[in-house]
Amino acid sequence: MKARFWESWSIGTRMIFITMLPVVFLFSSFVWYSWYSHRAQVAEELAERGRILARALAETSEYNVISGNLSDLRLTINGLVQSDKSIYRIDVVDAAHKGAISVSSQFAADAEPHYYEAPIKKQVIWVNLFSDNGSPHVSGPSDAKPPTQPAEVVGWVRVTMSPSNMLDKQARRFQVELAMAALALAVSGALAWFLARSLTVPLRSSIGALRQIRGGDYRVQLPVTTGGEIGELQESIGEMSLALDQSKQHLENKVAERTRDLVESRNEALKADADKRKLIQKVNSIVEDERRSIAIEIHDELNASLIAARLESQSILQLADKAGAGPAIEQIKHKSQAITKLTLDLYASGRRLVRRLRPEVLDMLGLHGAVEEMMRHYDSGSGCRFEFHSEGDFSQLENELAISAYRIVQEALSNVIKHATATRAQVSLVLSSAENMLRIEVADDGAGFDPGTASAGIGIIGMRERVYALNGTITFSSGPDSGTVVAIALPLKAPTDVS
Amino acid sequence: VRALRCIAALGLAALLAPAAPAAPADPVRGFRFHIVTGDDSAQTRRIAEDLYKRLAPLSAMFRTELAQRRRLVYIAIGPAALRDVAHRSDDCVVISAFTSSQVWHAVAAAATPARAAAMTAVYAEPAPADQLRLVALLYRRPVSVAAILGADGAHLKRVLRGSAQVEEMAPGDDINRVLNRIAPNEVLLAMPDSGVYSAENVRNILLSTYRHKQGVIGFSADMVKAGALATTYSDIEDINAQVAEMAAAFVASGELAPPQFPRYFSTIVNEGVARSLDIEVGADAKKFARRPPATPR
Repeated sequence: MKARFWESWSIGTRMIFITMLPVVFLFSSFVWYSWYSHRAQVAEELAERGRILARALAETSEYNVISGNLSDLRLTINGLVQSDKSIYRIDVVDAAHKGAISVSSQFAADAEPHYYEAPIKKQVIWVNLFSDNGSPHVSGPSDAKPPTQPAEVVGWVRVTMSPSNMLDKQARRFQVELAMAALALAVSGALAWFLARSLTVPLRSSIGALRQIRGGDYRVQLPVTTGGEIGELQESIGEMSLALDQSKQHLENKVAERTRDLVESRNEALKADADKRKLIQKVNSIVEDERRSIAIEIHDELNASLIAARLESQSILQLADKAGAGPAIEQIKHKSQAITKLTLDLYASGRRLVRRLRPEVLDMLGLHGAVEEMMRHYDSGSGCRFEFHSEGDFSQLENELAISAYRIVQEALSNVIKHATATRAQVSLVLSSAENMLRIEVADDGAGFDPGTASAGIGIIGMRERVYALNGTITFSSGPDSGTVVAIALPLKAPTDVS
Repeated sequence: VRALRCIAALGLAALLAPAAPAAPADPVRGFRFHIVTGDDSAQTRRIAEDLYKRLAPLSAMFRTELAQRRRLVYIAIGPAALRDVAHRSDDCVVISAFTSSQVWHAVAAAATPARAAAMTAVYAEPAPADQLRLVALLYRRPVSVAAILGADGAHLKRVLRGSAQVEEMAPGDDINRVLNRIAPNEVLLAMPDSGVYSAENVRNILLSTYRHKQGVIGFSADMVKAGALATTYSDIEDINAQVAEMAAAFVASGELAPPQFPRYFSTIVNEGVARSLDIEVGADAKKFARRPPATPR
């Protein structure tokens, strides 16, 4: 919605506007009406004076016109015209409209376009003149109503008025009225300004106090300087600031208390975390040691026994060959061959088991070679093509770190084979002496997953725990149909063992 | 109109008829008063009724032989009635009342000598002598009085001779010029004269005299109310009383009194005009009057 123009005004401006708007309207109306009324008054007064003058002159001119004493009438009219500046000219004409007297003013500046005319009537008064009209001649008072006598018009008086003199007078009056109205307007403006100021000053101080409160300074000093709603507002702001200050103090105390609790909890958590890391590391170490011992047992005991069993079975076969032919002999041959084959299979299984429990290639080839060997192993048995990249000297890598790195890569590649359905995978091992960090990155172009929604499997959890135990970091970058990149950073210096 | 006048006359005669049988056994003593009116206005009725009351007691006093021959006495009320009876062929006595002297003289001049000899009148306008006396009472000093008379005012000229400046006005003369001529006089004594005073110029005359600071002594109360200074005037009862006296004298003596101005009068003064003329009207002027003797009703 479009904002109206006054909506951005301050309350002081609005107050002045509200106060002054009716005053200005009143002033404008008054000035307009005054000017109009003065003009109308001049016109009305001129018309009235013109009519009255014409009629009065017509009344008084009767005798002069009838008696022919026009010089006397001229003197009278001349005195009248010269003494009244609003008279422009007075004409007296006879019954035939022939001019008898015309007197113009020496002072009047302009004339109205019309004149006011009054007939000079020959007044007839009814008196019983004892004429021979039939009715009795009674000299005593008569109660009879005198008959109406028609008046004969013996001439006309025409008065032309001049408005300039009266206009000047009315203009001076209008100027006085205008000055008074302007003074009233100015006084109204000053009053409006004072009224607005009586609102804006306490409001400004209130707004300032509110800004202080908004800025966090609750200890504001806002004296109540006025009454009414503004005073109540000031009082409320003062009370609010006091309450807020008390609340702030309370909260700060509570926060400090909670902070202390949190710090303690954090320290405990950190301590627990370190213990957990060490515990995981120890568990991993124990697991690896146990695996190694199991692998050695399998390698040294089980596999040796299987070799011995195979040799015995082969000996049985050789003996059967020498024993000649017969169904029993043939059956013995078959059984010995089956035992030989079975021992070979068991031996191979044992070998695989040993390799899984304890990748001896790690001891022999180091992390670099073991990973390369593992990739070759996966590359041969899956539809995915593996690429390997390595940088750095891995010979000085600690055994614990190497085993964890190996197991992490092993889990990552296992996930690629099992879940990614990728056609291509890359493994990168970078050992940065400058950063004192081993960086591992396994990337594939497989199906990927949403790290935000997908729940972690056992493999990933194991990877996280191994990384966590080594105080490293692991990140997963993946998305649906955009492959997966697993980046691991492991510090070269392993945490101290748990005692 | 004439028929109306006759009907009125006969009607009034009928009113008087019961008076005739007052002496039915003596025909010499019998007579009839015949009040003739010119109109049927309320004023005329009032005049006639009052006059009837006044003339009724006179019916038994008519005794002379001349009176036996002239059995009818016409009382003409107003100029129209006067003209009516003046044109009648009988030689009955005619007493004119409520008619100005100018009209009466005009009618009498037009009548036959015999007819004129049997005519007399109580004029309607105030007596000039009373008016002049009123002037003296108003001004309380000798003042010059002027009167304007027309062509028919010869009889008044004789009356006014020596007591007022008479200015004659011929037909066609401008009244303003005449008024200018009498401007030096302080008082204008107005007398009824159709050749001088008319409805059209009476206001002008009053204005002119006012401007000349002249007091106008009018000839009726209405004229004083219109702007004249003062006048003596006679009410209907005043004139009727004088008519009755004249009739009684005629019945008693058989001699017809000559025409005369009103004997009984009152005075009316326009106080406003008097003030403007700087005249302080005294009580004697205001009370200037002559009342008729009380008549038993």
